[in-house]
Amino acid sequence: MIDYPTDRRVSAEADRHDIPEPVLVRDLVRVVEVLNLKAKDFFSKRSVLAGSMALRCFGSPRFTVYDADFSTSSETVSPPTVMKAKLAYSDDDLEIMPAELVPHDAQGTSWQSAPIEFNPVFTSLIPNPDDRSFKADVSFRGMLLDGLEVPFKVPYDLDIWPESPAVYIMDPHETLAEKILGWCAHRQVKHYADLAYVALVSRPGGAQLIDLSYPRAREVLDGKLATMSRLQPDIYAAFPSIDALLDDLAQRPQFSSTQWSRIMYLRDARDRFTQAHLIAAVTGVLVPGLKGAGKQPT
Amino acid sequence: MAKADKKAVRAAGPVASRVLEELADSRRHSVTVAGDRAWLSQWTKDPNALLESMADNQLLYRVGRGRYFVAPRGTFSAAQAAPAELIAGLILGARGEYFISYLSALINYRFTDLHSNTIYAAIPQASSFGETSVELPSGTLRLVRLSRSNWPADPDDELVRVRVLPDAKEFVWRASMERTLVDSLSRPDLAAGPETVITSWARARQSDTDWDLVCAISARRGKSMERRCALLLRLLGLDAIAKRNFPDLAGRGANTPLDRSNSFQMSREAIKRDSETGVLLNVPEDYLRGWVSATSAP
Repeated sequence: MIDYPTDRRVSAEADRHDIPEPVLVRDLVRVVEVLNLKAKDFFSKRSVLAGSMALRCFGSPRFTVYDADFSTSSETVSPPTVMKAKLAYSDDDLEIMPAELVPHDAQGTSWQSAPIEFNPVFTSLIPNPDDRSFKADVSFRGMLLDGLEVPFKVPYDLDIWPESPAVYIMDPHETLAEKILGWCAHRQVKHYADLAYVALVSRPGGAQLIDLSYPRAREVLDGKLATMSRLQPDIYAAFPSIDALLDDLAQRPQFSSTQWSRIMYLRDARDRFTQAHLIAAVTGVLVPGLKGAGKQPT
Repeated sequence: MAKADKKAVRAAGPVASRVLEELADSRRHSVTVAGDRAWLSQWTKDPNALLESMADNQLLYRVGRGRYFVAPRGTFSAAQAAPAELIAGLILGARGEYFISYLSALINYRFTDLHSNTIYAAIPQASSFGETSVELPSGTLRLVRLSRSNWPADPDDELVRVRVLPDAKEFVWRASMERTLVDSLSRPDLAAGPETVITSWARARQSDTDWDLVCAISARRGKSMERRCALLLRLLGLDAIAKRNFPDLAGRGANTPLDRSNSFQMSREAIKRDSETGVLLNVPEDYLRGWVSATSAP
């Protein structure tokens, strides 16, 4: 699947980015998992890599530590429990052993395999057996937009492949909508950080990495809110419309001193992605963009 | 071959070979001058010099004064040879009682998906250990002194002896799940903040946590911890457990901050008081609700 790097190279790269070695090794294992799913024909326009790992394909410097998110449909994976066989993987250097998929919500629209244990024969940089696991969240809630086929990117330089393989990832409009719901309903800082990133790299100009249409983003957000309000009415009761979400998003967030420090950015991005900068991106770029699009005639 | 991939050639003399064989026979990866002097003296008059010379020859890694880990072939750092928790246990175990808890144990129990290079451990107030933190090969050991009244009253319920490496007769003391939850609630600053503490409590609902034991440990830590525990149980929908364990709890006259680290630094006017428990909600209420609901809705 990949050219497994030597321990010395992994160690040097972890040091360069100031990422703990076990975290980098776990990331390599999740990369292999994504390629394993590609080899097993998991990916298509309606079956994609989602969440923060997908945002990396647009250059996101935020490093996720433990989970991998996928969105699929019953046409691709049915019943959800067969996902376990798809997630399982073995080669000379690595073995991935997923747990049974179990429903992660009352409606059975989201499933989880946790822990997915792995035996990384290629490295000795993860000596603690407790560190040798990750989890996969697999959503069956359906996607509103077709996924995009893009080069799969990793934010480090380990020559793990001659050319980036292509994978289907969630359309960034849909990722944006999921992140808005994630922040407004669950107040998890990682979602806010990702929202800010999308806002920053979708601004027109030379540094633009995401071609974001705000009217389209509103439509998708509206659809996602409708879906989630139906599935989890209690959680989304405070947000009867996307205007309520945007009003909430327009508020300056409160972050605890410890919350923010747990967001893991690559070393060279840390100076740029400060709390103040990200809050300005959300409240000064994203919210006006989304609100403004609502006022335009369609 | 690239310079970074050059490997040291390790040669063990006859005495060093016997030491390594003895350790392998006894399924151990660590050796200390103080603890192993007796059998090392069979082969040398100066065990300290012998181990130092083995470390100079990269047969052992130094992990503290007079403490070493066997260097497996193909490794180049102590971080590859032993989990940080095991090194922490080796350092602390020689000086008396200790146990690993707070964020380290939350990660071990997979109550949180974070990763930390800091190992958090509790030692008795009267411990002869003078330092508050110790540098480890791959991180830091942070020490918390606990008074005798806060030390585990029933080690069988509150501590577990954990084999860190599956093939070794080497163990560390770790707080039980229940003790870990209470320790983290009492010191959110050592557990990555209130978001991590509360989501960990919420995730613990999906494990076999003994909530009556959580209540008993909280009660022993004092009335304030009782109040915090009761409030969290109610947030988690476990009111019946709180009422059963704290039948006489009343909010009247109490003003107990939920987050002892006050990490949100909310203004006095913004802080509400829970009338049933007397807990001051110095964490925004919508954040509390969002974190709890996030554990069942990714």
